[in-house]
Amino acid sequence: MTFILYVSLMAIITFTCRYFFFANVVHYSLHPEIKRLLKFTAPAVLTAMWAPIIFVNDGHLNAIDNAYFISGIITILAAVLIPRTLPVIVIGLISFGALRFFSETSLML
Amino acid sequence: MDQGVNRVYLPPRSTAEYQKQAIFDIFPLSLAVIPWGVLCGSLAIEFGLTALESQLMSLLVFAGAVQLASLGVIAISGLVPSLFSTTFIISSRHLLYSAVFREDVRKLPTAWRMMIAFFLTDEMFAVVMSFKARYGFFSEHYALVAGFTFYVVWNIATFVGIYIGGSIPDLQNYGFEFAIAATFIAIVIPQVKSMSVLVSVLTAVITSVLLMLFEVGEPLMGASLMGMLAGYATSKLLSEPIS
Repeated sequence: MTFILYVSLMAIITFTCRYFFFANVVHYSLHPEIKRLLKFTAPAVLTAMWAPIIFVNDGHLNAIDNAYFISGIITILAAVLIPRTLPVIVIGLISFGALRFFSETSLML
Repeated sequence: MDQGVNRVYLPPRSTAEYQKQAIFDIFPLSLAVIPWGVLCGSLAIEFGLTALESQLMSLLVFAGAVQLASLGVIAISGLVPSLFSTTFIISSRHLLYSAVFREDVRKLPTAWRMMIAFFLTDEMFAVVMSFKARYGFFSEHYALVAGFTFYVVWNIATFVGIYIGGSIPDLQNYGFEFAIAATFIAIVIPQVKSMSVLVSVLTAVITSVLLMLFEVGEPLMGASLMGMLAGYATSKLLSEPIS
């Protein structure tokens, strides 16, 4: 019973964070300067998520022969050249899979 | 920076097409998150929650990072009030997403706004922002279906984790994280069309890497806010238009 109470409260917290600015209780429009700042939410937050995956592992910078690093750079270059998301993701995943495959087989030799 | 060439993509024509496109776009991110869902389910069982309790976390809380962190807290100290502050700190970035979508959803009926909020995750935010950048408008049908698809996959993954219990293979070694990184790169890079966005992205790269290396503060929120402020400052300095 206590568990249900805790999980429900956690759910209320996550929902409130997601709903907070959707509430129409008070009618207000966001200040233009706030809108200017919020324009950078997607590029900044998403980058703060992908950059550590590509460049950092276990508290250390990735070496330049690391699969995450190389494929990350390949994906970035592909994204600069191709403006559609799916082909870029496919190129990134293929390069990552290939690098992992070859690094593992070379270890076995 | 702006090449002056505006690529025109025709938007989907019907609600059904929006929905199909949403499922298609969120698909790579849904696949990439499966290991985390499985992990959430199996860890919950390992830490002594019942199957129903474990599934309820994914059904109600629906936030991977919150669920994993709270399982850690529960394992060490049980059900303690600090679970709520942990939940709030990790969820706080959703306040930003909520503010970003405010103008798009404010005219929708309450039920719609509540549904979109419930399904608002990093992944849903990412694909909806990509949709907006491509077509120039927000679609509630697209947002809802993208969020719901992700919710279904997340809960099935949790169920699989509960089913196999503590005997999970080492999923973190397969590099699923890379799929998330590749998708976010593919979404962010095409949005770099002005000097201010470029500065914002570069700042977020540098600060997120530094914060991770030196293990200070909250790397995700810290780097996000630094990136946003750097973009804002550049935009002000260059007097870029707001929209």
